[in-house]
Amino acid sequence: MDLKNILKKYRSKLVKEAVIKASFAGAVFGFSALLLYEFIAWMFAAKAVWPGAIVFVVVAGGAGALFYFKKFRPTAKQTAARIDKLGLEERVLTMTELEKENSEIAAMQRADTIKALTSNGISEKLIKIAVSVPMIVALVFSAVCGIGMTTVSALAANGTIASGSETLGEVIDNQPAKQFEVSYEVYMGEGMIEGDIFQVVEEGFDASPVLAVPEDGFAFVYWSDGSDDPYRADGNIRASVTYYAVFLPIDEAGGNGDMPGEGDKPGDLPGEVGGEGESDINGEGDPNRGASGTYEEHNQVYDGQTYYGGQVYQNAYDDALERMNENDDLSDEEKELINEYFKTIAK
Amino acid sequence: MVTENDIAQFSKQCANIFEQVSRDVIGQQEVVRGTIIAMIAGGNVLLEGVPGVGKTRLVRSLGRVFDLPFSRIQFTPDLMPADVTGTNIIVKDEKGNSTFKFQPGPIFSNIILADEINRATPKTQSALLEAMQEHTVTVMGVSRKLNEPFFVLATQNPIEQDGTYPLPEAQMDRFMFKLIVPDPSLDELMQIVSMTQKTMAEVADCACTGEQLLKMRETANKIPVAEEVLRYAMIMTAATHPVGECAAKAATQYIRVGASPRAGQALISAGKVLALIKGRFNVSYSDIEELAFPVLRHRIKMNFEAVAERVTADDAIKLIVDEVSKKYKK
Repeated sequence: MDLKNILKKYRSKLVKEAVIKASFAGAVFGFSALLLYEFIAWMFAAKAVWPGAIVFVVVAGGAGALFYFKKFRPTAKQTAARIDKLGLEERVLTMTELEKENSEIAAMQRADTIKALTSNGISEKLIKIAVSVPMIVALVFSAVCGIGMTTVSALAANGTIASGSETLGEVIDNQPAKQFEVSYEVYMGEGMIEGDIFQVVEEGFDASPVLAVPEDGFAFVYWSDGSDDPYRADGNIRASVTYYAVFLPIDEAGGNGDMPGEGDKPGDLPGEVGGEGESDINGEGDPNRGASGTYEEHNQVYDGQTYYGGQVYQNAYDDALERMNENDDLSDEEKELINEYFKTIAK
Repeated sequence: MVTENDIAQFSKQCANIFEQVSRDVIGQQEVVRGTIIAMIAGGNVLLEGVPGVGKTRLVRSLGRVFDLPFSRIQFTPDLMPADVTGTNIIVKDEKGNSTFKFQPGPIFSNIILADEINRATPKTQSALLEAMQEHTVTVMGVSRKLNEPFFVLATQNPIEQDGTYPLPEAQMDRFMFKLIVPDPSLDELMQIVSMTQKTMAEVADCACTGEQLLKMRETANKIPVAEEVLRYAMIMTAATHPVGECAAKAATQYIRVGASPRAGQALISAGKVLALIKGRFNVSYSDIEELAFPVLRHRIKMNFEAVAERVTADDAIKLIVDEVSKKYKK
């Protein structure tokens, strides 16, 4: 008997299975294409039910045919292997390979296979059409998504619901703005900050104003950003920030020159605060002003250098030169040495 | 050319062989079947079991059943290679001249029973290598062909026993099957004792001559193997290697050295005989799976992890067969 005739009824069963599988796979692709098409239609509120159906049919048909011919169509060997799974122990598979052989052993093998096929009551009915669970899940999922999107698209086209672009615009408009925290704290001294000391402000908006109010015996000096105005209203907030208020006792503020002066940077919070003399709490005090409040021009340290005082030095220098010149005991070399000494001090 | 008559003859002789062997050997059906399959397929067999379970008796019985010259070599630590292969001795002719004459050793027979093979030193064990593979013996530069059919049926005690030398891998590989001879069941034990009370001698009759055996081998060789089945057998062999494209998980975990290509050859050769014994004209996946144990168990080397976890070669093969069966069977 011809091999094709033997396998015909089994193969037709497997062809059915392959068609079902290919249809399923094609439908998955069709629904996916439908989903994409209807999504675009929804975005522009276009009427696309019938065009969507055409897209589905074309894609599903094309993909199904491709799947059938490239993947699922049963070959003779696949058919044989499937029949062998019914308990034929690779008889049919071997017979398929020996199809064109005319040896006696091939003939005996063929006869044995046919005998096993008939005597064991093996028929095409025993071959169950099997479709994998993942494929069924994929089909259901894609069908729900595709049909659902078609419904949404149709409703949007009728004006029942908003279109995609409208919905998208709303979503963008309703996007919550970025928010930043603005806080105010007392860093030093005794005082308080009136107003909302912890604020959450949307990006670009203004914080509500606050006022630094010193306690009795204290004075407001500055904010950590360098501002010396106790009242502040921060605007156009672009980042979270904390401002520190600095208060100093009025009787200690200013005086000794280690006040927060011009050399201090905003944010460089004062270390040692205090000193005697006039209060210069705003940090603009003259560092050479002593406890008496008068200027002491000599032996002051200013910006890291000792300031000897111009007039005092000059007077001492002139006096020394005069006495040196009058002293006859000094040699020229000694006079030159003393002269160099004064020049060194002058530098 | 294999005819229908050859197939019928094969089946008849097989049935006769099994019947005659069963007269001498009680139980041990798997071992008997494995040994006969290997002999028809032309392979050597290593029988492993504790003393007294009937290994030697089985081999002696097979010698009777096949009506073939039979030599028994009792392997001991002081056995030398020349004691196995034979050697040149000085003889005097009629004129009184001395000449060398080759005195064949016990290996010049058809069926060799290498009893307790692992009690000899590796040097003596290796004297069998050439005979087992090429069926020739070379002594002092002269090669001599052994008579066909030629089989080595060796028995060995488990290597855990005292005074044993494990067989080298090269020699292990030349055994087509390694069969584990189990202890007899209670019923079998009773039958054995009852039988041996009457006579200790083997009673099996000849069921097949050497020529018939060669014909049976020729017939079995003609059994077709589908390409997919051949591929399956080769995957089964390759899966025993701890590295490689087909490496099974169990092999990666428990095996240090996998089976050689001889294992693949043995699976197919023995598979053909097994198929024919089962009355089939083609080799099936199930034949390969059944033969995987006797073919592979002595060809794989377990690693330290397997030893530590007490995983035997058979355990690993079972895992490999399961994995390959799920993964590659179409």
